[in-house]
Amino acid sequence: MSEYDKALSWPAIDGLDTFDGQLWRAADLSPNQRFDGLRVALVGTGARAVQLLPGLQAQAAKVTVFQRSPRWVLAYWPFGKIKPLSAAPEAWLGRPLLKVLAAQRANAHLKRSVPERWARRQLTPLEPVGQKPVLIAPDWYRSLQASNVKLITWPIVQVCSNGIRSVEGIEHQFDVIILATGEAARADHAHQEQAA
Amino acid sequence: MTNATKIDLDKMLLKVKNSQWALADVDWDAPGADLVTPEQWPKLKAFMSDLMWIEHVGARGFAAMAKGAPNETLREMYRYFHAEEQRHANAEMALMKRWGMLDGDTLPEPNINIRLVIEWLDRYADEMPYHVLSTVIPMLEVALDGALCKFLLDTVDDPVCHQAFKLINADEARHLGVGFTVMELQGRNANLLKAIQMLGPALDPRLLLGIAAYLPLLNKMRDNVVGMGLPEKKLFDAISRFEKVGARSRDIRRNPWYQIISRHGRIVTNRAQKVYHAPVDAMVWLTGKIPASALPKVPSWVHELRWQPTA
Repeated sequence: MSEYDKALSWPAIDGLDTFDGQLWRAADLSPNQRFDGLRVALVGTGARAVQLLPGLQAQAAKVTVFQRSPRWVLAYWPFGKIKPLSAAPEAWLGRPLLKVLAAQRANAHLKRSVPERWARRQLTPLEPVGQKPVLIAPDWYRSLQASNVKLITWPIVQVCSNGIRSVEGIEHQFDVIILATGEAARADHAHQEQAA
Repeated sequence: MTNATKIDLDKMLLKVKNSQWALADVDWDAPGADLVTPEQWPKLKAFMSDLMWIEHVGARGFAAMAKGAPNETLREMYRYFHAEEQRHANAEMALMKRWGMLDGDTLPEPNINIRLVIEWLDRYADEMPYHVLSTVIPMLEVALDGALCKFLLDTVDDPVCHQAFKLINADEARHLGVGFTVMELQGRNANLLKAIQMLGPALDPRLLLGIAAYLPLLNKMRDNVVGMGLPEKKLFDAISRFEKVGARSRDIRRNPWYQIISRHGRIVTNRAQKVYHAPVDAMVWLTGKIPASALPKVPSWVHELRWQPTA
């Protein structure tokens, strides 16, 4: 197995094999899988995580999202109706003008959707728009602010039998852990390959 | 307290990651809580509340530094330190709960000067120059580590308190090691032009507002801890250690913010400096007149504090 495949298989988090509840890789979840009434941890905030959260939020008793670094999010690709620009955003974000427009839209989407200052700060990426793939997710911010969803930005220390311990010293307890970090691993891998 | 200022930051980050602990590692119901005497209790309650809030404010400072850090290693380091300071505040709240000092599950009430600093941090900390935060925070940590925590352990016999602070102090030692290394890196090759560039942001009105909130807080805390029985000399000695450790490195001596902050620390801990203390005490008095209702509600990051080991 290559390093790339390994990274996609299981993230390097200590103690994954000690967890007593259900442990899922996001890629293995079938659309029919349900988590009604359960306490769910969603690890990662990449493309797969933003797809999963609205459904999880509607089913689960509680969803805790663990974020390492935020990504720029658009509610929709603003140039979708302009035929030459309707392709995937990544193809166009290399163009300076489109990058500026996309940055303006991503910023506006964040400001409009997340009024609370600290939450908005935690969801604002350090890097400018275009450095990593922009996510298209109309419901991400709304789902994150639902009363049964909590965003955790503390680094993860390890998975333990009851859940996840993070660096602020708290053990967050769950019935289900969903690992949605593969996309981030792929982006990092692509970035390293580019650098090489 | 660190003796060496030259630290390999990549190795230190690895060490930080490998030195984690959780509130669940401590048995908060173990025997010994009754070793806090009824005479100690009221003063200890006020002391722990102040200590917990300083840790929490320090945590927010590290969060701001993570935004301004010059490279990925330091960004990740400060991300950890932010969470570790939060852990310290959580652990101190757990001790307060153990000693019956919390009103139900509610947070201890921050004093008005803490509230003003929280307000400032929430609005402006992320825009503040990295040079300033990376010097102020080690100075506050030296005061915490070298005076306040030591005083607490000399005064309180509860073994759980000693166990918790052994873990906290080990974290703080790593924070200080990194803090002095960063001050050294910033002072490296500092000539007059670089020093002026580093000092330039001192004229930023947002920073001046922060100083206006920070000075009365320091004076109030200083008086509070001395009022609780901490000998004034111990506080002075702790601050002097910040100056002495820094002075061992030529590069730190060249860092203009180190020069300012260390001299300021010496003045804060010396009540005889009337020219400084009279106006700052007036600010403490004045801020004491601000009604709590005049302040906006506390930012949401304050509500992330919790004494329960699990969530």
